[in-house]
Amino acid sequence: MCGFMLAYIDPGVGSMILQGALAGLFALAFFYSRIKNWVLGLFRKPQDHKDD
Amino acid sequence: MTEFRQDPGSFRDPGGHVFWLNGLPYRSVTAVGRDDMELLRQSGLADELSAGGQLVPFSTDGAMPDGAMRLKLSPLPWISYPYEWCFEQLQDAATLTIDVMLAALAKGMMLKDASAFNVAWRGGRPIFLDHGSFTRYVAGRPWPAYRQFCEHFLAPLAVISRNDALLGMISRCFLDGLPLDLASQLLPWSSWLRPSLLIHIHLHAKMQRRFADSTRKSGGKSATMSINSLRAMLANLRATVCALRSPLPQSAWHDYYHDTNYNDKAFADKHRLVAKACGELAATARVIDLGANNGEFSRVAAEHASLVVAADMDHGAVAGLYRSIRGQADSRIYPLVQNLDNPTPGLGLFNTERQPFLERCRGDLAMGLALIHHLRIGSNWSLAHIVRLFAQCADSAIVEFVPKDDGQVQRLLRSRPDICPDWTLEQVCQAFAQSFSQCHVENIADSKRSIIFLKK
Repeated sequence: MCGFMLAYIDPGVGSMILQGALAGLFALAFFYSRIKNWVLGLFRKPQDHKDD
Repeated sequence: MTEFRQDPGSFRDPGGHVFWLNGLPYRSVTAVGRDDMELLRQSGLADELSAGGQLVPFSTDGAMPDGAMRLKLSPLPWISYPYEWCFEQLQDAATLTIDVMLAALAKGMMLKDASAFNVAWRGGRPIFLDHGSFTRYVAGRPWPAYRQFCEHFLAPLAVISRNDALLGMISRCFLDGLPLDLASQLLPWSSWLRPSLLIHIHLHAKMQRRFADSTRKSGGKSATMSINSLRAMLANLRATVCALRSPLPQSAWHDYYHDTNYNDKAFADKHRLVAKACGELAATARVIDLGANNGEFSRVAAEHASLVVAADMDHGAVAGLYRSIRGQADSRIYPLVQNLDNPTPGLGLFNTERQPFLERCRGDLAMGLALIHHLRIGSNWSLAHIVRLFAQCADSAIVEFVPKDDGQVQRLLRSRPDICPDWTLEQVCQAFAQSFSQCHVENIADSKRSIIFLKK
Protein backbone atom coordinates (compact mmCIF):
# COMPACT_ATOMS: atom_id res chain seq x y z
CA MET A 1 0.00 0.00 0.00
CA CYS A 2 1.23 3.48 -0.70
CA GLY A 3 1.40 6.21 1.94
CA PHE A 4 -1.57 7.95 0.41
CA MET A 5 -3.75 4.97 1.21
CA LEU A 6 -2.45 4.82 4.79
CA ALA A 7 -3.31 8.41 5.68
CA TYR A 8 -5.83 8.16 8.50
CA ILE A 9 -7.38 11.58 7.99
CA ASP A 10 -10.02 12.41 5.44
CA PRO A 11 -8.23 14.60 2.90
CA GLY A 12 -11.58 15.91 1.66
CA VAL A 13 -12.67 15.39 -1.94
CA GLY A 14 -13.05 19.14 -2.43
CA SER A 15 -9.52 19.78 -1.14
CA MET A 16 -7.97 17.23 -3.48
CA ILE A 17 -9.89 18.53 -6.49
CA LEU A 18 -9.00 22.12 -5.61
CA GLN A 19 -5.31 21.22 -5.52
CA GLY A 20 -5.61 19.43 -8.85
CA ALA A 21 -7.41 22.43 -10.36
CA LEU A 22 -4.83 24.88 -9.07
CA ALA A 23 -1.80 22.73 -9.91
CA GLY A 24 -1.21 24.67 -13.13
CA LEU A 25 -1.33 28.00 -11.31
CA PHE A 26 1.18 26.84 -8.71
CA ALA A 27 3.40 25.34 -11.43
CA LEU A 28 3.39 28.76 -13.09
CA ALA A 29 4.34 30.36 -9.76
CA PHE A 30 7.15 27.83 -9.37
CA PHE A 31 8.67 28.52 -12.79
CA TYR A 32 8.15 32.27 -12.42
CA SER A 33 10.15 32.28 -9.19
CA ARG A 34 12.91 30.19 -10.83
CA ILE A 35 13.09 32.51 -13.82
CA LYS A 36 13.04 35.57 -11.55
CA ASN A 37 15.89 34.17 -9.46
CA TRP A 38 17.86 33.34 -12.63
CA VAL A 39 17.43 36.86 -14.01
CA LEU A 40 18.30 38.46 -10.66
CA GLY A 41 21.33 36.17 -10.48
CA LEU A 42 22.66 37.68 -13.72
CA PHE A 43 22.85 41.11 -12.10
CA ARG A 44 24.24 39.91 -8.79
CA LYS A 45 27.94 40.35 -8.11
CA PRO A 46 29.79 37.05 -7.87
CA GLN A 47 30.66 36.35 -4.22
CA ASP A 48 34.25 36.75 -3.15
CA HIS A 49 35.92 33.50 -2.21
CA LYS A 50 37.86 33.46 1.03
CA ASP A 51 40.55 31.34 -0.56
CA ASP A 52 41.27 33.95 -3.20
CA MET B 1 7.80 -1.93 39.12
CA THR B 2 7.43 -0.79 35.50
CA GLU B 3 4.73 1.81 35.00
CA PHE B 4 3.13 1.65 31.53
CA ARG B 5 0.66 4.25 30.31
CA GLN B 6 -0.84 4.58 26.83
CA ASP B 7 -0.95 8.23 25.73
CA PRO B 8 -4.68 9.02 25.55
CA GLY B 9 -4.15 11.43 22.64
CA SER B 10 -2.40 8.87 20.41
CA PHE B 11 -4.93 6.42 19.02
CA ARG B 12 -5.85 7.53 15.50
CA ASP B 13 -2.87 6.37 13.46
CA PRO B 14 -2.78 2.61 12.80
CA GLY B 15 0.95 3.00 12.15
CA GLY B 16 1.85 3.39 15.82
CA HIS B 17 1.12 4.91 19.21
CA VAL B 18 2.84 6.93 21.88
CA PHE B 19 3.10 5.45 25.34
CA TRP B 20 4.88 6.23 28.59
CA LEU B 21 7.19 3.88 30.45
CA ASN B 22 8.28 5.00 33.91
CA GLY B 23 7.46 8.57 32.96
CA LEU B 24 9.50 8.53 29.73
CA PRO B 25 7.97 8.81 26.24
CA TYR B 26 8.15 5.98 23.69
CA ARG B 27 6.50 5.21 20.36
CA SER B 28 5.47 1.85 19.03
CA VAL B 29 5.61 1.34 15.26
CA THR B 30 3.30 -1.38 13.97
CA ALA B 31 3.74 -3.42 10.81
CA VAL B 32 1.55 -0.82 9.05
CA GLY B 33 4.01 1.98 9.78
CA ARG B 34 7.28 0.03 9.68
CA ASP B 35 8.22 0.80 6.05
CA ASP B 36 7.65 4.52 6.54
CA MET B 37 9.71 4.51 9.73
CA GLU B 38 12.56 2.69 8.00
CA LEU B 39 12.46 5.24 5.18
CA LEU B 40 12.43 8.12 7.68
CA ARG B 41 15.59 6.75 9.29
CA GLN B 42 17.44 5.44 6.25
CA SER B 43 16.82 8.48 4.06
CA GLY B 44 18.65 10.63 6.60
CA LEU B 45 15.55 12.81 7.04
CA ALA B 46 15.18 11.99 10.74
CA ASP B 47 18.84 12.84 11.46
CA GLU B 48 18.67 16.01 9.39
CA LEU B 49 15.52 17.29 11.11
CA SER B 50 16.67 16.24 14.59
CA ALA B 51 20.04 17.94 14.13
CA GLY B 52 18.26 21.12 13.07
CA GLY B 53 16.05 21.05 16.18
CA GLN B 54 12.93 20.54 14.06
CA LEU B 55 12.09 16.97 15.11
CA VAL B 56 12.11 15.32 18.52
CA PRO B 57 15.20 13.05 18.48
CA PHE B 58 14.59 9.34 18.89
CA SER B 59 16.43 6.03 18.84
CA THR B 60 15.27 2.47 18.24
CA ASP B 61 14.88 0.61 21.48
CA GLY B 62 14.07 -3.03 20.81
CA ALA B 63 10.61 -4.39 20.15
CA MET B 64 7.22 -4.45 21.81
CA PRO B 65 5.78 -7.77 23.08
CA ASP B 66 3.54 -7.87 19.98
CA GLY B 67 6.53 -7.47 17.67
CA ALA B 68 6.03 -3.77 16.95
CA MET B 69 9.17 -1.63 16.72
CA ARG B 70 9.84 0.48 19.81
CA LEU B 71 11.31 3.98 19.64
CA LYS B 72 12.65 5.86 22.62
CA LEU B 73 11.81 9.55 22.30
CA SER B 74 13.76 12.46 23.72
CA PRO B 75 11.56 13.93 26.51
CA LEU B 76 10.07 17.38 26.00
CA PRO B 77 10.12 19.97 28.78
CA TRP B 78 6.33 20.29 28.90
CA ILE B 79 3.24 19.73 26.78
CA SER B 80 0.88 22.52 25.77
CA TYR B 81 -1.89 22.75 23.20
CA PRO B 82 -2.58 25.13 20.31
CA TYR B 83 -5.43 26.87 22.15
CA GLU B 84 -2.88 27.86 24.81
CA TRP B 85 -0.54 29.56 22.35
CA CYS B 86 -0.37 33.18 21.33
CA PHE B 87 -0.73 34.18 17.68
CA GLU B 88 3.01 34.14 16.97
CA GLN B 89 3.39 30.68 18.50
CA LEU B 90 0.68 29.27 16.23
CA GLN B 91 2.30 31.08 13.30
CA ASP B 92 5.72 29.54 14.04
CA ALA B 93 4.15 26.10 14.49
CA ALA B 94 2.58 26.50 11.03
CA THR B 95 5.84 27.48 9.33
CA LEU B 96 7.61 24.58 11.06
CA THR B 97 5.02 22.17 9.65
CA ILE B 98 5.58 23.52 6.12
CA ASP B 99 9.38 23.43 6.53
CA VAL B 100 9.24 19.82 7.74
CA MET B 101 6.99 18.93 4.80
CA LEU B 102 9.41 20.56 2.31
CA ALA B 103 12.38 18.76 3.89
CA ALA B 104 10.44 15.49 3.69
CA LEU B 105 9.65 16.05 -0.02
CA ALA B 106 13.36 16.47 -0.71
CA LYS B 107 13.88 12.96 0.68
CA GLY B 108 10.95 11.35 -1.13
CA MET B 109 8.58 11.58 1.84
CA MET B 110 5.72 13.79 2.96
CA LEU B 111 3.51 14.48 5.98
CA LYS B 112 0.27 12.53 5.88
CA ASP B 113 -1.30 14.86 8.43
CA ALA B 114 -0.74 18.46 9.48
CA SER B 115 -2.32 18.75 12.90
CA ALA B 116 -1.30 21.62 15.16
CA PHE B 117 -1.11 19.02 17.95
CA ASN B 118 1.93 17.57 16.15
CA VAL B 119 3.96 20.54 17.35
CA ALA B 120 5.48 21.08 20.80
CA TRP B 121 7.97 23.59 22.18
CA ARG B 122 11.58 23.41 23.21
CA GLY B 123 12.65 26.80 24.48
CA GLY B 124 11.45 29.47 22.09
CA ARG B 125 11.37 27.10 19.13
CA PRO B 126 8.61 24.81 17.89
CA ILE B 127 9.52 21.16 17.41
CA PHE B 128 7.69 18.47 15.43
CA LEU B 129 6.79 15.50 17.61
CA ASP B 130 4.78 13.10 15.46
CA HIS B 131 7.23 10.62 13.92
CA GLY B 132 4.28 8.63 12.61
CA SER B 133 3.25 11.50 10.29
CA PHE B 134 5.96 10.75 7.75
CA THR B 135 5.08 8.58 4.80
CA ARG B 136 6.39 7.88 1.31
CA TYR B 137 5.57 10.59 -1.23
CA VAL B 138 3.60 9.29 -4.19
CA ALA B 139 4.55 11.26 -7.30
CA GLY B 140 1.74 13.26 -8.80
CA ARG B 141 -0.55 13.15 -5.77
CA PRO B 142 -1.89 16.30 -4.13
CA TRP B 143 -1.16 16.77 -0.40
CA PRO B 144 -3.75 14.80 1.64
CA ALA B 145 -3.09 17.03 4.67
CA TYR B 146 -3.82 20.28 2.79
CA ARG B 147 -7.30 20.65 4.30
CA GLN B 148 -6.04 19.85 7.78
CA PHE B 149 -3.24 22.40 7.50
CA CYS B 150 -5.75 25.07 6.45
CA GLU B 151 -8.16 24.16 9.26
CA HIS B 152 -5.53 23.85 12.01
CA PHE B 153 -3.28 26.76 11.09
CA LEU B 154 -4.23 29.08 8.26
CA ALA B 155 -7.93 29.53 9.07
CA PRO B 156 -7.47 30.25 12.82
CA LEU B 157 -4.54 32.58 12.10
CA ALA B 158 -6.47 34.47 9.43
CA VAL B 159 -9.58 34.76 11.62
CA ILE B 160 -7.55 35.98 14.62
CA SER B 161 -5.52 38.34 12.47
CA ARG B 162 -8.61 39.98 10.96
CA ASN B 163 -10.62 40.08 14.24
CA ASP B 164 -9.28 39.70 17.77
CA ALA B 165 -6.57 37.73 19.58
CA LEU B 166 -9.20 36.34 21.94
CA LEU B 167 -10.42 34.19 19.05
CA GLY B 168 -7.35 32.03 19.67
CA MET B 169 -9.62 30.31 22.19
CA ILE B 170 -11.87 29.12 19.35
CA SER B 171 -9.49 26.18 18.77
CA ARG B 172 -10.69 24.77 22.09
CA CYS B 173 -14.09 24.17 20.50
CA PHE B 174 -12.70 22.74 17.26
CA LEU B 175 -10.01 20.21 18.08
CA ASP B 176 -10.12 18.95 14.48
CA GLY B 177 -9.50 22.45 13.18
CA LEU B 178 -11.63 25.46 12.41
CA PRO B 179 -14.14 24.46 9.70
CA LEU B 180 -13.33 26.37 6.54
CA ASP B 181 -16.91 27.44 5.86
CA LEU B 182 -17.07 28.99 9.35
CA ALA B 183 -13.69 30.66 8.83
CA SER B 184 -14.91 32.00 5.51
CA GLN B 185 -17.94 33.57 7.23
CA LEU B 186 -15.86 35.05 10.06
CA LEU B 187 -13.44 36.76 7.69
CA PRO B 188 -14.27 40.26 6.40
CA TRP B 189 -15.12 40.83 2.74
CA SER B 190 -11.70 42.41 2.19
CA SER B 191 -10.12 38.97 2.64
CA TRP B 192 -11.71 37.96 -0.70
CA LEU B 193 -9.37 40.45 -2.34
CA ARG B 194 -6.26 38.64 -1.08
CA PRO B 195 -5.55 35.87 -3.62
CA SER B 196 -4.03 33.48 -1.07
CA LEU B 197 -6.94 33.75 1.39
CA LEU B 198 -9.38 33.62 -1.52
CA ILE B 199 -7.90 30.29 -2.67
CA HIS B 200 -6.98 28.55 0.57
CA ILE B 201 -10.02 29.56 2.61
CA HIS B 202 -12.93 30.95 0.60
CA LEU B 203 -12.63 28.80 -2.54
CA HIS B 204 -11.49 25.87 -0.44
CA ALA B 205 -14.63 26.17 1.74
CA LYS B 206 -16.82 26.31 -1.36
CA MET B 207 -15.13 23.22 -2.79
CA GLN B 208 -15.63 21.40 0.51
CA ARG B 209 -19.34 22.23 0.41
CA ARG B 210 -19.65 21.43 -3.28
CA PHE B 211 -18.18 17.94 -2.89
CA ALA B 212 -19.31 17.16 0.67
CA ASP B 213 -21.91 14.70 -0.52
CA SER B 214 -19.92 13.56 -3.52
CA THR B 215 -20.63 9.98 -4.53
CA ARG B 216 -17.66 9.93 -6.88
CA LYS B 217 -15.87 6.66 -6.45
CA SER B 218 -12.53 8.32 -7.06
CA GLY B 219 -13.01 10.49 -3.97
CA GLY B 220 -10.67 13.09 -5.43
CA LYS B 221 -7.92 10.56 -5.95
CA SER B 222 -7.88 11.23 -9.68
CA ALA B 223 -6.63 14.77 -9.00
CA THR B 224 -2.98 15.17 -9.86
CA MET B 225 -0.33 17.68 -8.88
CA SER B 226 3.33 17.69 -9.85
CA ILE B 227 5.96 17.93 -7.13
CA ASN B 228 6.94 21.40 -8.37
CA SER B 229 3.32 22.58 -8.10
CA LEU B 230 3.15 21.06 -4.64
CA ARG B 231 6.33 22.87 -3.62
CA ALA B 232 4.94 26.14 -4.97
CA MET B 233 1.69 25.61 -3.09
CA LEU B 234 3.61 24.95 0.14
CA ALA B 235 5.71 28.06 -0.43
CA ASN B 236 2.53 30.04 -0.99
CA LEU B 237 0.94 28.65 2.21
CA ARG B 238 4.10 29.56 4.15
CA ALA B 239 4.18 33.09 2.73
CA THR B 240 0.46 33.53 3.49
CA VAL B 241 0.95 32.44 7.11
CA CYS B 242 3.98 34.70 7.55
CA ALA B 243 2.18 37.71 6.07
CA LEU B 244 -0.61 37.55 8.66
CA ARG B 245 -0.17 39.96 11.54
CA SER B 246 -1.32 39.71 15.13
CA PRO B 247 -4.27 42.06 15.73
CA LEU B 248 -2.67 43.32 18.95
CA PRO B 249 -0.73 46.54 18.99
CA GLN B 250 2.92 45.50 19.19
CA SER B 251 3.52 47.53 22.35
CA ALA B 252 0.39 46.58 24.33
CA TRP B 253 2.29 44.80 27.09
CA HIS B 254 5.25 47.11 27.42
CA ASP B 255 3.58 49.59 29.74
CA TYR B 256 2.42 47.14 32.36
CA TYR B 257 5.24 47.63 34.83
CA HIS B 258 5.22 51.39 34.27
CA ASP B 259 1.59 51.46 35.36
CA THR B 260 1.97 49.94 38.80
CA ASN B 261 2.63 51.29 42.24
CA TYR B 262 6.35 50.56 42.22
CA ASN B 263 9.16 53.01 42.24
CA ASP B 264 12.61 51.88 41.14
CA LYS B 265 13.65 50.96 44.66
CA ALA B 266 10.54 48.83 45.29
CA PHE B 267 10.91 47.16 41.93
CA ALA B 268 14.55 46.29 42.62
CA ASP B 269 13.61 44.94 46.04
CA LYS B 270 10.88 42.77 44.55
CA HIS B 271 13.50 41.39 42.15
CA ARG B 272 15.76 40.65 45.11
CA LEU B 273 13.03 38.83 47.02
CA VAL B 274 12.03 36.70 44.03
CA ALA B 275 15.68 35.88 43.32
CA LYS B 276 16.08 34.90 46.97
CA ALA B 277 13.24 32.35 46.75
CA CYS B 278 14.43 31.01 43.39
CA GLY B 279 18.02 30.82 44.59
CA GLU B 280 17.05 27.96 46.89
CA LEU B 281 15.85 25.84 43.97
CA ALA B 282 17.75 22.88 42.56
CA ALA B 283 19.05 23.34 39.00
CA THR B 284 16.47 20.81 37.78
CA ALA B 285 13.55 22.61 39.45
CA ARG B 286 10.41 23.65 37.63
CA VAL B 287 8.65 26.92 38.36
CA ILE B 288 5.01 27.69 37.60
CA ASP B 289 4.61 31.44 37.22
CA LEU B 290 0.88 32.17 37.32
CA GLY B 291 -0.10 35.61 36.07
CA ALA B 292 3.39 35.99 34.63
CA ASN B 293 2.46 39.03 32.53
CA ASN B 294 5.42 39.95 30.32
CA GLY B 295 7.68 37.48 32.14
CA GLU B 296 9.69 40.05 34.10
CA PHE B 297 9.97 37.67 37.05
CA SER B 298 9.88 34.48 34.96
CA ARG B 299 13.29 35.63 33.72
CA VAL B 300 14.54 35.90 37.29
CA ALA B 301 13.28 32.36 38.00
CA ALA B 302 14.80 31.07 34.74
CA GLU B 303 18.27 31.99 36.03
CA HIS B 304 17.86 29.29 38.68
CA ALA B 305 15.34 26.71 37.38
CA SER B 306 15.36 24.31 34.45
CA LEU B 307 11.87 25.31 33.30
CA VAL B 308 9.56 28.23 34.00
CA VAL B 309 6.00 27.86 32.76
CA ALA B 310 4.89 31.48 32.38
CA ALA B 311 1.10 31.59 32.14
CA ASP B 312 -1.02 34.68 31.68
CA MET B 313 -4.49 35.37 30.33
CA ASP B 314 -3.34 38.43 28.39
CA HIS B 315 -2.53 37.43 24.81
CA GLY B 316 -0.50 40.62 24.33
CA ALA B 317 1.66 39.93 27.38
CA VAL B 318 2.27 36.32 26.35
CA ALA B 319 3.04 37.40 22.79
CA GLY B 320 5.53 39.96 24.13
CA LEU B 321 7.25 37.32 26.24
CA TYR B 322 7.30 34.86 23.34
CA ARG B 323 8.80 37.48 21.03
CA SER B 324 11.62 38.01 23.53
CA ILE B 325 12.61 34.32 23.46
CA ARG B 326 11.53 33.50 19.89
CA GLY B 327 14.05 31.25 18.17
CA GLN B 328 16.10 30.62 21.32
CA ALA B 329 16.37 26.86 21.66
CA ASP B 330 17.99 27.14 25.09
CA SER B 331 15.38 29.40 26.68
CA ARG B 332 13.96 27.94 29.88
CA ILE B 333 10.81 30.05 29.71
CA TYR B 334 7.61 28.48 28.38
CA PRO B 335 5.02 31.18 27.58
CA LEU B 336 1.39 30.14 27.70
CA VAL B 337 -2.04 31.77 27.44
CA GLN B 338 -4.14 30.66 30.37
CA ASN B 339 -7.13 32.19 32.12
CA LEU B 340 -7.16 30.93 35.70
CA ASP B 341 -10.88 31.72 36.02
CA ASN B 342 -11.50 29.19 33.28
CA PRO B 343 -8.36 27.07 32.86
CA THR B 344 -8.03 24.59 30.00
CA PRO B 345 -10.22 21.59 30.80
CA GLY B 346 -9.70 17.99 29.72
CA LEU B 347 -10.79 17.83 26.08
CA GLY B 348 -11.31 15.35 23.28
CA LEU B 349 -12.24 11.70 23.55
CA PHE B 350 -13.58 10.95 27.07
CA ASN B 351 -12.14 14.36 28.05
CA THR B 352 -8.76 12.66 28.40
CA GLU B 353 -7.25 13.15 24.97
CA ARG B 354 -5.93 16.61 25.93
CA GLN B 355 -5.04 17.08 29.58
CA PRO B 356 -6.43 19.88 31.75
CA PHE B 357 -4.01 22.70 32.52
CA LEU B 358 -4.18 22.19 36.26
CA GLU B 359 -3.20 18.52 35.91
CA ARG B 360 -0.11 19.48 33.92
CA CYS B 361 0.59 22.37 36.24
CA ARG B 362 3.03 20.73 38.67
CA GLY B 363 6.32 22.24 39.73
CA ASP B 364 8.72 22.81 42.58
CA LEU B 365 7.80 26.45 43.09
CA ALA B 366 4.59 28.30 42.24
CA MET B 367 4.76 32.08 41.84
CA GLY B 368 1.81 34.44 42.03
CA LEU B 369 3.14 37.98 41.80
CA ALA B 370 0.59 40.80 41.63
CA LEU B 371 -2.02 38.11 41.03
CA ILE B 372 -4.01 37.03 44.07
CA HIS B 373 -5.76 40.39 44.65
CA HIS B 374 -7.17 40.01 41.14
CA LEU B 375 -8.44 36.53 42.03
CA ARG B 376 -9.93 37.54 45.39
CA ILE B 377 -11.28 40.99 44.62
CA GLY B 378 -11.56 40.99 40.83
CA SER B 379 -12.90 37.46 40.37
CA ASN B 380 -14.47 36.78 43.78
CA TRP B 381 -12.38 33.71 44.53
CA SER B 382 -12.39 32.73 48.20
CA LEU B 383 -9.08 32.61 50.05
CA ALA B 384 -9.53 28.82 50.19
CA HIS B 385 -9.68 28.71 46.37
CA ILE B 386 -6.44 30.70 46.12
CA VAL B 387 -4.69 28.44 48.64
CA ARG B 388 -5.90 25.34 46.77
CA LEU B 389 -4.49 26.63 43.49
CA PHE B 390 -0.99 27.17 44.85
CA ALA B 391 -0.99 24.08 47.08
CA GLN B 392 -1.80 21.79 44.14
CA CYS B 393 0.82 23.35 41.89
CA ALA B 394 3.89 22.98 44.11
CA ASP B 395 5.27 22.34 47.58
CA SER B 396 6.72 25.86 47.72
CA ALA B 397 5.18 29.13 46.66
CA ILE B 398 5.76 32.85 46.69
CA VAL B 399 2.82 35.20 46.42
CA GLU B 400 2.59 38.95 46.51
CA PHE B 401 0.10 40.55 48.85
CA VAL B 402 -1.26 43.89 47.67
CA PRO B 403 -3.22 45.70 50.43
CA LYS B 404 -6.47 47.58 50.01
CA ASP B 405 -4.84 50.99 50.17
CA ASP B 406 -2.64 50.18 47.17
CA GLY B 407 -3.61 52.01 43.98
CA GLN B 408 -4.15 48.77 42.02
CA VAL B 409 -6.64 47.40 44.57
CA GLN B 410 -8.30 50.82 44.80
CA ARG B 411 -8.78 50.64 41.07
CA LEU B 412 -10.39 47.18 41.39
CA LEU B 413 -12.72 48.45 44.14
CA ARG B 414 -13.67 51.65 42.31
CA SER B 415 -16.59 50.08 40.49
CA ARG B 416 -17.71 47.43 42.98
CA PRO B 417 -18.63 47.16 46.65
CA ASP B 418 -15.92 45.88 48.97
CA ILE B 419 -17.14 42.40 49.90
CA CYS B 420 -13.72 41.11 50.93
CA PRO B 421 -13.34 41.88 54.64
CA ASP B 422 -10.80 39.02 54.85
CA TRP B 423 -8.39 40.81 52.53
CA THR B 424 -5.73 41.52 55.14
CA LEU B 425 -2.17 40.20 55.30
CA GLU B 426 -2.93 38.37 58.54
CA GLN B 427 -5.98 36.55 57.20
CA VAL B 428 -4.29 35.68 53.91
CA CYS B 429 -1.37 34.15 55.85
CA GLN B 430 -3.82 32.25 58.08
CA ALA B 431 -5.51 30.83 55.00
CA PHE B 432 -2.21 29.70 53.48
CA ALA B 433 -1.26 28.11 56.81
CA GLN B 434 -4.01 25.54 56.18
CA SER B 435 -1.88 23.96 53.45
CA PHE B 436 1.63 25.31 54.00
CA SER B 437 3.47 24.69 57.27
CA GLN B 438 5.91 27.57 56.78
CA CYS B 439 4.75 31.10 56.06
CA HIS B 440 7.25 33.93 56.08
CA VAL B 441 6.48 37.53 55.10
CA GLU B 442 8.87 40.20 53.84
CA ASN B 443 7.83 43.71 52.94
CA ILE B 444 8.85 45.12 49.58
CA ALA B 445 10.97 48.19 50.37
CA ASP B 446 9.38 51.57 49.65
CA SER B 447 5.96 50.04 49.00
CA LYS B 448 2.91 48.83 50.89
CA ARG B 449 3.18 45.39 49.31
CA SER B 450 4.64 42.19 50.77
CA ILE B 451 5.99 38.89 49.48
CA ILE B 452 4.74 35.79 51.29
CA PHE B 453 7.15 32.83 51.19
CA LEU B 454 5.38 29.48 51.63
CA LYS B 455 6.59 25.92 52.14
CA LYS B 456 4.72 22.72 52.92
